[in-house]
Parts: sequence; C-alpha cells; structure tokens
Amino acid sequence: MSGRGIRAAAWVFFAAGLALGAAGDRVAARTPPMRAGYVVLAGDFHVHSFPGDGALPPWDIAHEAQRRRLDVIGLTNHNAMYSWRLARTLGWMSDATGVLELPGDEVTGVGFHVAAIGLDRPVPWRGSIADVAAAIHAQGGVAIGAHPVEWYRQAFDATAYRALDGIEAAHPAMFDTPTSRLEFQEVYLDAVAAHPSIAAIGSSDYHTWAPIGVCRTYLFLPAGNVDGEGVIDAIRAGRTVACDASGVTHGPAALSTLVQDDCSSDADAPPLGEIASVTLASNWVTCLALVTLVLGGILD
Amino acid sequence: MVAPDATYAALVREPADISAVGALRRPLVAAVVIGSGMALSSTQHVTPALVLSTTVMWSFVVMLQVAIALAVIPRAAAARLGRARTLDLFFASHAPWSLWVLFAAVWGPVLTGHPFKPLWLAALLPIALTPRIIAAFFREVLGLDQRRAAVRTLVHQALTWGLFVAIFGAAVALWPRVLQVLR
Repeated sequence: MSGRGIRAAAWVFFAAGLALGAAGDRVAARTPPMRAGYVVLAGDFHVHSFPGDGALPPWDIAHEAQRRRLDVIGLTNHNAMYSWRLARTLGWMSDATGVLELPGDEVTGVGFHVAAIGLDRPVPWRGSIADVAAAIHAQGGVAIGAHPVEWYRQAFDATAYRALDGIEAAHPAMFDTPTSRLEFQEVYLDAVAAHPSIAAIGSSDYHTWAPIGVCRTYLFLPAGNVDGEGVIDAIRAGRTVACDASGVTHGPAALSTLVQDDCSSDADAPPLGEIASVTLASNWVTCLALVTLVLGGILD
Repeated sequence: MVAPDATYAALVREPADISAVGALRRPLVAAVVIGSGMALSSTQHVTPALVLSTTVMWSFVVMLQVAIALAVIPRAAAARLGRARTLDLFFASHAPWSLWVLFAAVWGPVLTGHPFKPLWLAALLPIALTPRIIAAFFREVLGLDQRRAAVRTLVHQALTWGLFVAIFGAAVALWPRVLQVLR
C-alpha cells in the first residue's frame, strides 16, 4: 500500500473511531434526588476552561459535567472570565445539557487562591483574602477558599475563614501525599471553629486528566428555588456537603448522613450512559489512526 | 525523527507540486492530534462533536506555529520548493510533539492513576528532537549552511517557547505566583 493509501485508511479509521465514540456516549437527562425535603444538586465549583488553562470550552464542559452526574458547575479561570464571555457571545451555553453553568473566576492572589462564583466581572487579586471576599460579595457572589493547604495554608487564618462563604474540604490534592488528607481535615475543622456555617465544598480543580466532579459538592436547595440564585444561597447558608474521590463525605453531620450513599456511588460510577467497551475500542482505534497519520507525515 | 537529515533529503527529492490547500495536510494532522488529545485526556472519550470543537479551539496553537514558521523561513530559500511545499515539509517536525500529545492523552495521570513524572520525562524527547529536526529542515530543505541553520533554529525555538511562556503565564496568572515566590 502506498503512503497515500495508508493515510487514507488512517483517516477512515479515525472517523470510525469517532463514530464508535458517539455510539458509546448515550448520556441522558438526570433527575436530582430529594433528601429531607430538599432537592440535592451535585456541583463542582472549581473548573478551568478554554480559553484559559482548561482544555475544554464551556459547552464541552457542560456535556462532560452531565456525563459525570453533575447538575451545576462554576467556571473559575485564573483572574479571568474570557471563556464565560466567549460562550455567552457565541450563544453556546449549557441549556441543552441541563447543567447550570455559573460565571466566576479563581482569584489568584499572592499566597492564596479563592474560587469566586456568581460574578459579572473578574475580581481584583491584590489584597488579603478578606478584601477579595468583600469584592466578591459586592457582586453578589460567594467566595470559596481554594486548596487551602501546603504553602497556601498560612494565608487562611480565622479572619479569612470568617470572610469566606465556603472552603474546599475535598480536592484532588488530598491524595497527593499520605498526610494531605489529614491537612485538609485540619483546615476544615479550623474553618468551622472560626465560621461554624462555612460551606464544605468538594471540587475537582478540573483542567484536564482528573475527571470533572472527581471531588464534588452536594447542595441542598428548596424545591422552588433550583437555579443559580438557589445554588448561591445554599453555599452562603452552608447547606452543602463535600464528597471526595474515595466516596467519603465532609461537612455537617446531619447533611452528610443524607448523601453518604450518593457520595459512595458517585465515586465509583462510570460516566452516565457510557458503554465502556465501545468507548475503549473507540479510544484505541482513534489513537492508532492518529499515530499512523503522524508517522505517515514523516515518511510522506 | 532519529535521522532527520536523511529523511528531509528524501522528502525534498520526491516530486511534489502542491497547492496552498495541500500545504495544510500536515498542519491539519497536527491540529487534529492536539484536538483529539485534549478531548481524550479531558473526558477519556472522543465523539465527532467533541473533537471538532477541541480541534477548532486549539487550532490557534498550529496557527501560531505557522506564523512562527513563516517568520523564520527566509523567503528566497522558500522559493526553491514553493512556500506551500516548504510549509508542508516544515510541519513534519511536529511529529515528536504530536506523539507526546497522544502519549499524554493515553497515559492519563489522574489522582488515583498513573503518576505525572513519566509524562514530563517523556517530554524531554520532543524537547531534544524538535530543534534537531528543524535544523535539518533548514539545511536539507532550504539549503542553508550549518551556522545559518543553527541561528534560524535558535530563533524559532526562542519564539516558540517565548510565546508558550507568555500564553501559559497569562492563563495561570503567573505574576501573582512570581510575587509569592519572591515574598
């Protein structure tokens, strides 16, 4: 077979790989469960997107969030909201998926990061955590302390905790070292001591690789208030439970009990509607076709 | 990739009168590889809509590479084969990074999965190979002498990495992080 023939075959296999992928992706609408009279939404409030340091644009993130059983996400690029504006300008928001996308940013200051949800414009990053939180509140948003461990921890003191609405109690970094999980627990206990109603937040800090929602937040919303405002209100009121990737909940005991089973099952669950064997075959066919195209490009 | 001089010498010998559209073949493969790699690494699956979206979004990387190539390829030298064919052959140098992107997507270092270190170690290969290939391109395709080829390669790499640092730095809010380190 000539080089041209090999390349043509590779393109055919590439298209076949994508078609297989579509066949293995049968995501359906999800109905959030009811617990103790509340609608329980699953959320991820630390999500990076394109353009920014995330791999996917907001419309693809919405689809991926739906596959990963999430109902609401916050777009939080570093000191920027370009991806949100791009999606809004193009009119490609998440309506079709049913996933609620909230605008925000990850305020990246000197020595701390704060996930800001419910913004109109980026928040100035200079100043203390309390300054940043005040600027977020002025826009009607909520301020969540992001990965408050290791070298960021010293910025999170009692004053900071009192200024924040939430704190990341579950984050992929808690699996970095044997002591990381313990440090997250210590920080959460310190935060609750300073601010008893501070919301326990679970976030994936999604850029690429680690799945969106790998750590997540369950929010308890009154049945008549299931929208962006309801989500912001739930965080502000501390009606949340963080769920980590090993299926363990973190947050108020009364609420944690209500979603322990959801957390355990979500931690192990494959993507919604995915036919695993078909997806695996699709991935390999696509990759091999692409390797052939790359090597074929060298040899002409 | 291992013997870029010989490969480019062979490629140049092949008769090829390609159009401007034909020159897009290798850049298109690079764009599709990047788009598919982003889709695979971020979702562990691919669909036509997803790959189309990521390929279009991330095609700015390839466009920047085309712009850098046009800036560093001397016009007179490009006239030997025609600008389209020259650009087409230039993009053969993308192969090491294309393979790395696919490796990164398949390796998928997630929090309970594979570690990151092999990924960064594997990146040393394209970092080392790409300048060699580009220098060979300047010598074998454009007919530049050793010294001029080395200078052009250096300029190409400086422009590429400079742009990478600028774009990545803006995306991750590098300045507050620098201030944090300095504090």
